Amino acid sequence: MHLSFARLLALEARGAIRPLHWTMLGLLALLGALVAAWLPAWPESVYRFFDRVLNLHGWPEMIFGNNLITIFFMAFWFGLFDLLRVYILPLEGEYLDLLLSKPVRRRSYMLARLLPSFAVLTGFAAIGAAVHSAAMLAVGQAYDLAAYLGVVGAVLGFVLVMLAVANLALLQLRDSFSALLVGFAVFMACFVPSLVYLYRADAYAGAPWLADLLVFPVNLIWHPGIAAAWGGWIGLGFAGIALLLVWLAGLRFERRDLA
Amino acid sequence: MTGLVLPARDAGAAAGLARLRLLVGVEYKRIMQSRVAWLLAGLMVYTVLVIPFILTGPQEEFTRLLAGWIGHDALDGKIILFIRIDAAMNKLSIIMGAVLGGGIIADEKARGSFDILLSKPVAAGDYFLAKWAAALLALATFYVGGCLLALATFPFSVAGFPAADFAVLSAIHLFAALFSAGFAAMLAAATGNRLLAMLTSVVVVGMLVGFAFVGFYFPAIQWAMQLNPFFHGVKLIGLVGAYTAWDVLGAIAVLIGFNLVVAAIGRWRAIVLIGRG
Repeated sequence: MHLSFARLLALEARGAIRPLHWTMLGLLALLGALVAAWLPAWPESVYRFFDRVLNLHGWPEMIFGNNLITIFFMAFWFGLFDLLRVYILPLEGEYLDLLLSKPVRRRSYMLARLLPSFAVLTGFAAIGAAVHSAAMLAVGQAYDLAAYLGVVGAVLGFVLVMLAVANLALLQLRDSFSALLVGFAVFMACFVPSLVYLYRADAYAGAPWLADLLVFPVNLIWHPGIAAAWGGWIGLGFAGIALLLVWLAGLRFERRDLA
Repeated sequence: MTGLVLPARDAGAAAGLARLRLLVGVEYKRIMQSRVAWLLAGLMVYTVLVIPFILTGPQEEFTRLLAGWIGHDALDGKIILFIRIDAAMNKLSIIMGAVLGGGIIADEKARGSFDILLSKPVAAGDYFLAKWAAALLALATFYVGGCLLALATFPFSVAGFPAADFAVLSAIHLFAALFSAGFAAMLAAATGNRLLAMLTSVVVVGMLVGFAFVGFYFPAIQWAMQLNPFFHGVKLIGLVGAYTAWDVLGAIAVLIGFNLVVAAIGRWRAIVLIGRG
């Protein structure tokens, strides 16, 4: 008899909030407040760099852009370490068999571990972003709230897609060291379009829409109207893609020989 | 360590060195034969294949701003070095260090193999140092390999590639990259927890790397950047065209100091951790 998915999910959700998440929240809050308060004191050349090279206009956009990279970085890396609990760590610790000996399908096990993990990660990162937003307000560098929410929603949704892609790749591995390197490759691949924009903006001269599409996450700040109206939906769409990828990973996991 | 015969603990200083050399060799071989080695080699190839595209022809505004930060002399060469370090080697250092150094001692603790370790004719501190040295050697192998590939190919793919300055800067920056592995090893020995060590290393070294060039952008806080090994790893870029042997040796000496400090702390914590069993 199979354990019901709802019961399994409830079991996994019970221990989903861990010290890892509180640490991430603390760092996001601390760094968010620091960036909001300190960045406007930086030299004028830094302002010109953000303004002319990255097309961020005014300190609120610049502060938000900088902190967005921090949210992106922290959410991905803390999420990746949490992801290791699904397959890699139990395999390394030789207790995966034990976990799977419950009357549970492998795909249910994977989904039940990842859903609470993703929910807690996005929730804590969103609280960290809210602290940053409040800090911006407190230092008189307010950013449009609807656009802020939209941008953060889209970024966190995208991080979930990155983690789901990494999760798929991790099924081919057997140790956490290789898993981190594969995670790093996923992370860097998402940054290549931004690196190209930073150093070779001329590469987008023939098709500026490509920069609008690919230079993530700064592109969301370039279009606050779209972010305000569609950011939340984009985030939900990304979350849907992430779930689909987790489902696919579950199917692969079913066929994986664990011997 | 199957088949490895270590000299006895009381066999004198020369035997102690031979013991360390043996341990370093075995550990180095293990790393280089692992899947991690293949993945790291793949990432190094990325730095040679993708980076040349962004090294050539940065936008005019970027060049002008950068000139204000790192100086107008020999600007084209400086920009190439700046981008190569910023886009590739600094970011790779974050993950290479965590992966190569983050399991030291913590792995043995997770396996519960301290008793076996203590029964060998090797002191706890020496064991840590051997693993630390092997991790640094492995990192250096990948780093130097990536630089040699760049030196062999960039002159053909990157116009005005400053090969000599690249070699000198890489010789310095290598020690900053080594710091990331030593730092992760220190954290692993201090916490006895591989995941905690690797995550902390990724976050802390990630922030140090993020601040590597801040000494150029914000000269008023350059004094604080002296505490950042990655600033020492890149500061020669501002001196390209005018640096002396002392600038190079000075930067390397400072970075060796950073490496020795984390190694000493790691050794001390490893002795405590292994002693507790």
